[in-house]
Amino acid sequence: MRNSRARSETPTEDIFKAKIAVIGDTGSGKTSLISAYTAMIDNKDPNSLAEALLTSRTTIGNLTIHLSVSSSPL
Amino acid sequence: MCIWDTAGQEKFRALSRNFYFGSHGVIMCFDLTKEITEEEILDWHEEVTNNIDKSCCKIIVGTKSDLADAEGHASKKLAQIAEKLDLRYLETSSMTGKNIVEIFDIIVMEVERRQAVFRNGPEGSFLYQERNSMSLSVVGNQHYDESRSGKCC
Repeated sequence: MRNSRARSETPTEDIFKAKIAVIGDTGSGKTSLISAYTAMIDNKDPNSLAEALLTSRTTIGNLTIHLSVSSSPL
Repeated sequence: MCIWDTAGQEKFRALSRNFYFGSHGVIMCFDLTKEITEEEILDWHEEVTNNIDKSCCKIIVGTKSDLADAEGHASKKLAQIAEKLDLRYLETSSMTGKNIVEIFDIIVMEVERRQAVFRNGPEGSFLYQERNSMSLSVVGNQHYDESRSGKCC
């Protein structure tokens, strides 16, 4: 109990709660933006981005969750 | 951090609102390879301000910068309107990875900063306003809608 309380006070938990929405007209590159971000966070390899973008499906709604953001200055 | 990808089609607009309702940050994407009108940008901005808390962090993004025209007409227009709306503007390329991580860094840091405001002093914090929406008109005078006071619906 004490541990969970201590963890809830760390700033990392606040970032986890953050809800970010990506909006824009159809074909504006929203899904690609998220795919590229996910690929960069996971692989850190710029050459793998093209593979991540090979999709042309219409998005209705999609959720991506990142448990931690390594580049956050905490 | 939860990232919500939404549908861009007009017919899904009502559905998309459910996805981005309650967001702490919004990334507004515009295709740099297409002609962008001021109306389009203002429409999206209005869509956000009408449906999400006014104090949520917004950022304008010009996508596909690797394919954009050399003159940068769309880019200039976006930058100009972003300045007018007092919003941050960045150009990205999902193909080359330009500014992709930076955008999320900026928006996450801003959300974190606003949460810190919430922890240290509630007034002015969007989270406080969100959680205490009943007292919003009392706490933040700038949000007080006089026309609705004392009226039902």
